[in-house]
Amino acid sequence: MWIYQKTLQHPVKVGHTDLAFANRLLSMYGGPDGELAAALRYLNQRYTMPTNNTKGLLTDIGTEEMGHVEMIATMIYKLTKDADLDEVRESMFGNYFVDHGKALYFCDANGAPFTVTYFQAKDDPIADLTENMAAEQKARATYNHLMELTDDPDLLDTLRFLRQREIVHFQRFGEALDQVQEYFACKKVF
Amino acid sequence: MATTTAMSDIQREMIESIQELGLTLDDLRQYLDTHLHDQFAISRFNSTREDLDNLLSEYSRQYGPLTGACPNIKDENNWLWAMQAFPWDYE
Repeated sequence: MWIYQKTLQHPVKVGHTDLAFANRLLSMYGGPDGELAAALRYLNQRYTMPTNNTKGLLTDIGTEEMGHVEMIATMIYKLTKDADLDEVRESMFGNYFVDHGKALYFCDANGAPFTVTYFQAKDDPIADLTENMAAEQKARATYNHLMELTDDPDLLDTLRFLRQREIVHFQRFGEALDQVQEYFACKKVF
Repeated sequence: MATTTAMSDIQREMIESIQELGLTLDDLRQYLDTHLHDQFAISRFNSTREDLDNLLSEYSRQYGPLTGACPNIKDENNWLWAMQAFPWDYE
């Protein structure tokens, strides 16, 4: 069960239209290391975790990632909503526009649709938590690449926030991995 | 065409405070998931939760409900929850 709050997790300020950047930002929406993949990966891994606190961590981080999906969607929506057709025609966003107009669609920066092959569920908590740590680093690296592609201080503020959350989540998954390994080590004694 | 809703400076400041307190809670919640007995984090969680609840009530009294738990999700004649703008539609 989830409860919705009608605010974004962190402010998203977008001062002007930027179709090319919106197109690139799609990768953090429905790309291989995007926020949807993160949310679904964590929420879906919960069922076979051995300890309640690991289920809790996956629930809480997975829920936050849903909030990040909404932040990215808001950025893309605001970057595109006021564009006129001349701008769309001349931009790389024109290709996306053919199939989706200005609607949000889960795909990467090249238009490849989202796929669940972006993540795994192994019924092996060590493998799953290690995948999650790698996922957080790949998302951080993608935010780095995006930050190299804009000078807009408002966009950079939001991207910096989201990148920082990847680093925090990496830390938490590392702690959970240590604890799960300890849990299995203790279990063998009995 | 896209619709946008303007927000007063005071309303924006309140939303930003709600976001800040919410982030603190998100962070503490995840920290506590791997530090189950940290007394300092638990008391910080409690005081932040209380501050956020107060601010959410104050905000909802002035500008309308932000969650289904707000008592003023409706008034006598109106389902207020679905009448206020969504986050991406604020300027």
